Amino acid sequence: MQQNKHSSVHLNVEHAFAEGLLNPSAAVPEGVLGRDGEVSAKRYGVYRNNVVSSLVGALAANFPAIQRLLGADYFKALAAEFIRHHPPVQPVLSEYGGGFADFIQSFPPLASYPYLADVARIEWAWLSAYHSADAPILDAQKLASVSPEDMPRVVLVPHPSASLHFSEFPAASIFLQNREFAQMENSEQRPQAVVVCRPEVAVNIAWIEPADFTFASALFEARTLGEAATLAASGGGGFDLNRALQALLAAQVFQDLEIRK
Amino acid sequence: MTAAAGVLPPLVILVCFEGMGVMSDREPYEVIKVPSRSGVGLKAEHYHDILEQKPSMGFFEVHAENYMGAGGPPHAYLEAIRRDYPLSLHGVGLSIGGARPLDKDHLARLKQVHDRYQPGLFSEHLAWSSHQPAYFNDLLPLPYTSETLARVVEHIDEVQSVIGRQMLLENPSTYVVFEQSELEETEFLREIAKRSGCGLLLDVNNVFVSASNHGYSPEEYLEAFPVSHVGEIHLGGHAPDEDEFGHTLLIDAHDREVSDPVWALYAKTIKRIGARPTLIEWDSDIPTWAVLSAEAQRADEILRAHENGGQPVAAE
Ligand SMILES: [Fe+2]
Repeated sequence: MQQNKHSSVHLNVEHAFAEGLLNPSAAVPEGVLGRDGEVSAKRYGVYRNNVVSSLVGALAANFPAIQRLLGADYFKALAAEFIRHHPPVQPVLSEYGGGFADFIQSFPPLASYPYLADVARIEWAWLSAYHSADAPILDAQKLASVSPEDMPRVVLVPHPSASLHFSEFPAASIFLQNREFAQMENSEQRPQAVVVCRPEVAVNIAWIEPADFTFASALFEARTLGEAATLAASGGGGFDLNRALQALLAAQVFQDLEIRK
Repeated sequence: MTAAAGVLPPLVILVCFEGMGVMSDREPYEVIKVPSRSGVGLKAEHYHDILEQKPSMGFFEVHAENYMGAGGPPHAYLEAIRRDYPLSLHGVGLSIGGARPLDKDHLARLKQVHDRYQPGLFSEHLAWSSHQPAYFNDLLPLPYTSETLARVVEHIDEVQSVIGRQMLLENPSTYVVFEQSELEETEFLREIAKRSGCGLLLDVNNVFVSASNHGYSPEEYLEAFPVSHVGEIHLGGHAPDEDEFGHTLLIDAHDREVSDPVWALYAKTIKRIGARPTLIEWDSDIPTWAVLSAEAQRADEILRAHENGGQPVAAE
């Protein structure tokens, strides 16, 4: 049976039904009927409510620290607003919410809580690390056995779960305080620099000295050790190559190394 | 500092299974046929109980979309459980009833999960959940017309050829009907099964919910249902409500025990069509493992009572 796209009853019905799902003031779509042919806002509203509450639930599952910081009611209102503007575009909900931190950052009523967006970024990184590909961890021996002349040309390959974060606020501390993790070390310092990664089954958050952050980011951008060290040293401000490298290796954020020719 | 997800059991359990989990090369699974026994939907809250207690259970069913991440603990848990139990893979996001072409990327991810876990059963819904670009995360209804019938059959053909096997299509629970509909739901499903060669997943709770909501008899619906295509049965709990005209409105909430009238319909159905793999669906307000497995037990008793001489059905 040939279907002309422009005369598709199916598509028109679906379009009208979809229109009102994220719009609480939309009328019941034409042709959508209740038990005795009535136009039932309550019945259509069941779908609308399922959509919004299930997506609010998905965001709450992905951002429990943000939910705890804002309280359940505020979180629900904020999430519903986000969902209306940025509904998911694919069905894997553990991947929904990548834009939530930016949305929080530009949400005027939250302007006086400027640390929230950074907490959301760390929470998103935590979730991404949790579901990221499994991969081996760089054997520290492999780095130790690189010859001194090759050492500056070493490129460290980040683990697929690893990401770096810098915040002017104590964002990582606030994140940790609002997640019920069995063990956690905290830090009062600010600004804060952390690396989030999952070397094996558990997601780790490891502190790095803010002064070493430039170096770490350069490594994550596939610069060589030599380039990264030069870049970091030229930035001044107490960078320590040994300390930086030790911290990153201890956090198991690399999966391998290459020697750039 | 080590951090585990809030809802997950202690990682020590997972570490015990790590040897055959995250970091190991997997042996391909042997496809284990899902027996005509009861099973339950697998929830993260119960990973721990299942791995520790190794309960007798016909099978576990998972939502495919929960295992589409690249790696991590969810896969490690599922791999450990899959070693010991038959698996049913249930997609909730493919939008087979949608007007537009299927999402090829999502279908490819579904195939990946399917090929990784080699489930004994594979099912999806007669519903839509995406209307480009949005994904609504709900099973939304469609009108039953010759046009929608042709499109659903087209979509099922595509799914079956990409995944490389027969799928089961589940009857929906609905709160509204469409003026545009030309066919009865049972007729629609019969025709889909005939044209596409797919099997059907009969959700008895959905039958009861829809029948109550639209004022028809669930028995008559089941009489008309093309039961010879049924490869699996679902049972779940619903929440009672009322619409603004005073009509019964049951919500397919999957948040409580299966209701007595649904158990009665189920027992009648098994008596009529024979034993089928039967799933207890409980997706929110997740109960303790003991409560959930008691529900499965109840379904198993009905299945066993149907078997000759009350013999328990072999697990494999
Ligand atoms: Fe179902």
